[in-house]
Amino acid sequence: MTEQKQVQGKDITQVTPRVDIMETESNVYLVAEMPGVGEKGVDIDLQGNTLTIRGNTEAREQCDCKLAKAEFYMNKSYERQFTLGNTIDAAAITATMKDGILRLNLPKLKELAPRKIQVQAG
Amino acid sequence: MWKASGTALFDPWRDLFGIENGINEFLSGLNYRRGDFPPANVWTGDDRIEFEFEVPGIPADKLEVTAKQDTLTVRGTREADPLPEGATFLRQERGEGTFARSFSLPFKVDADAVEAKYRNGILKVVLPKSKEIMPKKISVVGE
Repeated sequence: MTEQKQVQGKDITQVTPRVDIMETESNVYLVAEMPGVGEKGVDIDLQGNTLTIRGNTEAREQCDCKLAKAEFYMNKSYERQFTLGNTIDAAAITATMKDGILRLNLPKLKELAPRKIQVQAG
Repeated sequence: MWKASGTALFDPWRDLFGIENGINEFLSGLNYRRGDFPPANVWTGDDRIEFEFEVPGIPADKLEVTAKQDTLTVRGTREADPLPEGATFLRQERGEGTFARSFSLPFKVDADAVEAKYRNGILKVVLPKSKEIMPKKISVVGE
């Protein structure tokens, strides 16, 4: 949802980042587009099985000029929530941020992988 | 079983809110046609014009910026992350493919002095006004 709010006199627009989600047998990968967000502007939060990703864009360098055309918001707060299946190993989630792209690697719990059970003679 | 767990990852309401997003953007005064890529913000000053483009995830060497006297062109390729072995997409919203966008500039620019920087997925191009058209102060010499 696009929502405007005022934070310290700045207009911040809340937007939903675009994502790609891929799944293999052992992992889920999440790739989120957050142009303008640096490594320090990212926040990843896991509460129960609700994963929230957030990113705040860096302030623009000031120049003695006027905005002539606007196609994207300048001060953005990206936010999106996902409900994780209980097959994800929450403790093993890792994340990287590069060139405005947040990448999350969500490994699945190993115990859920098929395994053989040894039958012992009684 | 994996499929069922996978679907829990996404929220069907998001698609619905996506529509609202589009409407809000339309009403908020941003004049952006969907499909124009990359979106640009343009700033003008007395001595320059500045462009900012949202091009997340595109390495600097995959971006080509050309400035002629009164035209700026940005070209590049958006590439999806390589799909891991045996992976399937649960959701694919990011775009890919080649793009090119040109802008007519309101004045002649000094093509040799154009600067392009890439940071956090934002490409910033600063084009100084051509010296020929910059106002010149002429000192008056008393006789």
